[in-house]
Amino acid sequence: MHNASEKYRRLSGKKKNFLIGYHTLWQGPDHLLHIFSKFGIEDYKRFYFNDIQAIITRKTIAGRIQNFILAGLLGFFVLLAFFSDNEWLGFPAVMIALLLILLLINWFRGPTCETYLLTAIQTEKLHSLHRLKNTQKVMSHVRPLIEQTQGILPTETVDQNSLRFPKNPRSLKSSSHVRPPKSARKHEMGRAHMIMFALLVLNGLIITLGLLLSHIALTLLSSIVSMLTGICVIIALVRQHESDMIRSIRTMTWTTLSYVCFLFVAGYIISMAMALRNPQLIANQWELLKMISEISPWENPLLLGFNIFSLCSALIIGVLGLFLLKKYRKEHQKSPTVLTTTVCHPASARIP
Amino acid sequence: MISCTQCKTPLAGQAINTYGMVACPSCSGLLRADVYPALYRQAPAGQVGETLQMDKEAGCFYHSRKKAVIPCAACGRFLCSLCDVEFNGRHLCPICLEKGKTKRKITNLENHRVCYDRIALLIAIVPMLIVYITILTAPIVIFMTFRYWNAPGSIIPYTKIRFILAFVIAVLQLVGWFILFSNLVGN
Repeated sequence: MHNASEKYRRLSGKKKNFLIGYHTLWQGPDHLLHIFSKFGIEDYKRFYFNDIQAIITRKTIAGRIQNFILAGLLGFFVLLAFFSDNEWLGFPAVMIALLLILLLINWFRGPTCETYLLTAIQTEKLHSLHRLKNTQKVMSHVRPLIEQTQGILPTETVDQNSLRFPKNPRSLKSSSHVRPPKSARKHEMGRAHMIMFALLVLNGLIITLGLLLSHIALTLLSSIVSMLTGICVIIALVRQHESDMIRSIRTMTWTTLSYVCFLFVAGYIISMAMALRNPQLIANQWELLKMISEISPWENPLLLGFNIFSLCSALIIGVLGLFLLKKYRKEHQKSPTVLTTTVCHPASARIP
Repeated sequence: MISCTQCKTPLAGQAINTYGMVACPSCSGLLRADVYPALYRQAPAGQVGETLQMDKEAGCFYHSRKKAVIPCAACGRFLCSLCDVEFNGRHLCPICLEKGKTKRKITNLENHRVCYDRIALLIAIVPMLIVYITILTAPIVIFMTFRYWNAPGSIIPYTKIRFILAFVIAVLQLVGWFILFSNLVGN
């Protein structure tokens, strides 16, 4: 088996998915191998040098947006550190260091891009080639290999074929669109999304109540609701995958995931900080929880800021999500999509 | 037809094979399009198989009325041009091709593999976040290491290091639990 595997050589570039898995690209003797790995399971796609028609890469602004968001968050925590007490300086300092490292890494990796590989029957996105520097390197490396198999394309052939372009190029807008049509994708009503957004609103209300009174019941309830929201986010993400769910609700789901991750990380940091300050409570989770719930947000600007941010985020995402979902359901009721089963392959129609 | 991946506007010849980034004429996005001769190649016509004219001629194993043109490189059955599948320089019949895929004899047909070494390492490391679960996961990891030691791993180059690491971690976890329990019993 080792002999079979030794023929592959790794090409630069790796794309990690937000939650699970990563994409890599490998060079084989006569093909490119695209691998998606998740939890030790690998899915392969092969593109033979003889079949590759084109590789197209396009610069995107995703990297710049990431830098902008990181810089914004960095600025926020710098301000927070500036205004917070000395005893609460630890959290913003850690966040500043973390964000600075992330910002520098993102900046050094250079601009982002999208790369597509075209064959006669497919247009595949090469996820691993998402940084322009790596992509240029890989394209320059792969080019001679493909040309060795197919030969060099004469410039005249390209020019002659480009003359045949229609006068209105926009009319061909959907000609190379390979994603399945919306009607062929599964329909998602968004029940999990609705529960998730409702839980967010509930969490927002609990946090608001927590600003008025400090009680362990509220802290416990908020933790349970956050956990349930986390579970619902995962279910919603699975449900919306390859479904006809509209983009805005998908974005709201991903935003909810970011929010829940932020809540979990912040909660973990707060509880760790409390445990370190009171080492005698490390073994007693209940006492630790009681201590956290007894802290009034009005006594600490950092905690107040965190609570206000959490409640605003929860209410905005929750209410907006519910509104979008209601609109989506209403629109779907007006124009129900065609069932997936009605879509059949043209070749199957010929079978007697 | 090569078009911009964003706005789908067809790209003119000047934008193709420049080996550098050029602006899309419609959306102004920066693009690089490397095009190869396969784009302008005509698709080869499909073979239908020649009908037998004389009784002395050899017929296809799967289509007795069609003339055999080549034997299968794996099973030796005579094949007509309809049944002949050329793959990696070998001429195979559809059945041998299918067997090669299911029995993993043709690596290039595999599109999915389970890498047990990675799973074992994951099961060994991740439960360490919640320490108590390791009492259950450590024996599972040891079982997996022995059970799948010889199972085919990834298609790409790999070593047994993950299996070894997972095994060592699992053994250490079990030793830890043993010490803890022996201390408890001793007290």
